[in-house]
Amino acid sequence: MQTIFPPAIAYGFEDLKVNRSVECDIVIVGAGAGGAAAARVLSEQGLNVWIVESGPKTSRFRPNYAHTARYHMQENGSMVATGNTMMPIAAGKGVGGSTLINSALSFVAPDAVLDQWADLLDDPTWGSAHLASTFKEISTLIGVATTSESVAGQNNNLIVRGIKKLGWDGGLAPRSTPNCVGCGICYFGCPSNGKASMNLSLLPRAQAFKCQIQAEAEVNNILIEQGEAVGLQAVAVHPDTQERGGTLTVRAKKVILSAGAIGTPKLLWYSGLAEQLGPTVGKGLHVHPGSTLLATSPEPIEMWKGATQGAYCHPPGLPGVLPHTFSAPPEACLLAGGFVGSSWQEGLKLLPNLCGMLVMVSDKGSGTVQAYSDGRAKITYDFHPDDVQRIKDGLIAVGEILLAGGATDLRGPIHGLGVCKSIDELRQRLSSRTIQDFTLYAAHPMSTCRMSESPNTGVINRNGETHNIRNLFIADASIFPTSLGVNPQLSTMVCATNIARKISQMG
Amino acid sequence: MSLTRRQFIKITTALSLMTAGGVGIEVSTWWDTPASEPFQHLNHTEAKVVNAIGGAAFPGGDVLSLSGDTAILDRFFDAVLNAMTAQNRNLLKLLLEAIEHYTVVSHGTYFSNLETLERQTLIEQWLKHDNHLFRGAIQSVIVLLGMGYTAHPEASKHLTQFFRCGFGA
Repeated sequence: MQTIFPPAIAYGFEDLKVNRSVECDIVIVGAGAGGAAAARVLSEQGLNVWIVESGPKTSRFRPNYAHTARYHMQENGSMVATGNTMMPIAAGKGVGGSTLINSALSFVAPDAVLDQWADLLDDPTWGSAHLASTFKEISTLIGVATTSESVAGQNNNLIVRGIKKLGWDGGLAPRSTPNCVGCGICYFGCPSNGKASMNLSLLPRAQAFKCQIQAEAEVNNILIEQGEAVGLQAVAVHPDTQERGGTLTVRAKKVILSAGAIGTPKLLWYSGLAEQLGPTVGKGLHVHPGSTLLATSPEPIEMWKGATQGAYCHPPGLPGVLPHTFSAPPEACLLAGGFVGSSWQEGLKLLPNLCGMLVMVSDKGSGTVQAYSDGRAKITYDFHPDDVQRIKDGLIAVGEILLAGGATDLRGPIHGLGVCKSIDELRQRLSSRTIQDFTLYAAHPMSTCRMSESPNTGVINRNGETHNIRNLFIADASIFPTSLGVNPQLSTMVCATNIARKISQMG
Repeated sequence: MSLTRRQFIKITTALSLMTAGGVGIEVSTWWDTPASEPFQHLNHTEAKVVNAIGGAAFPGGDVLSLSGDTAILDRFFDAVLNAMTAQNRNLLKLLLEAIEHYTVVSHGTYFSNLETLERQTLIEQWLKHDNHLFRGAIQSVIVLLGMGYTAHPEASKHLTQFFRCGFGA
């Protein structure tokens, strides 16, 4: 089956030089995993679908990663959650959303998580048994397969070696990269069209039917008439200059928000609808927070050659803790390893031999998303003490893997860690660390507009429709009733597909 | 001169996501800016502080001879400031001024007047400081300058062999 298509075609800023109004069956906000998956289903049903996306109409990944951040990360990659510590939160934008700049890890959601959702919603269509076929369907459409040894690269190979030596569950990871050449820069946009990001997979499938995409346009208002969503308004924003252009008004029978777990609640707050939708809009943010360890391999690793995140592990006795491969640009690696000042040149010398693995946890901690008056996201997040301990436990597991794989000298962006020669040393130094001692990172925002049968505990019902505004739906990671525990792109597509099918059954 | 907790939070926020390797700024060919061209935002002292931090954090050596204090990082930082909001810009300028004055009591002179080794020791101490907000602000500035340093043609020529994306290939 063909999984990679020529890029989806979108209108851009220039196409909104003059104000434009359109009518359609469905309008979707956001062209990422959720929006693309919903558009694929609904357009195949013969519905006339429009997608409005704030990011650029074509991918603009080069010449460097700062450029990628500017064009393909929400708020230029500057979103930070504040709370009992500070943590950057990453989310993508553009025709393809975060799938443009993720590492394409494609895990099926754990059965226990999905079955908990089904119980919470009293609806078996959200359980693992029912969704298994949809996971399989989407996995086939986006070419999910275990990372090939031929493109794994030495960082992943060292990790797999360590996992095997320890006898733990894990190995090369499932990714949606059917044409991967192993160039190690998934985060900054696939240069070889090897990744089945939405612009190359589900969106072209949708566009084979009646689906049109307006990119470079920020939605600033959801149109509500007599308690019912009837469309939206957007304004064109030039991707280079931020100049405001013409407006787009879309009138539709149904409106689907798929702007992600930051973008969707932000839009609801910014457009003044949040309070109307109950007390939980933007609340309950989960992010899969995590941190990193680096180590030194006796053999060259060249972290940037091979699949970016091609290996993973389920350490024994640590449910909800998911270590996988780490890769970052040189200066970030060197700083993470403490190579600054007098050790800078030593770090440069060691650079080809650095290997790394990160850990993320399915979090009990939670946060909030609202909007500042200028439209930026206002994000808070407070760590739960159990999560801090699980990050430590996960890092100890990571240390065991790296050492078992043949590396030495564990180090990382953790205040007071220094260089650890053994697991005992790592365990002892981590034991007294507080959350403020960790350099943290999170790229999986979710659960900010939860699905729940009560408007007091969730924003949408089990069909994806908001409790208090008819014909307003949400289909992205914000609907997850709990933290997921694995990288969310595949689950986001599956949930959006499930909701889109429920919408099409409504007629 | 001192900064409040709120200001440290805002500074770190303004420079966020550095450890992930990205800030959405367009700072191409800043190293070619003629010396005669005035800075857009930095004053002379702030420019000196930027280069002094760069020189301490990224000294030249056997592997890479380019030193941070000759990598024209003041022009890079000026371009970065230009991409920021006025509020964040002012906060970062305030941080530079605070760093410059920080050593007057402890060392009897301004930060940018210290010898490279003294500046290096201070930077390393600050990166291990117990106050996570202070540590985070310094770390963010260092990573930001690291982005400039590693994008300089002399450094990128060396690093391109490892990491193609970041350096134009």
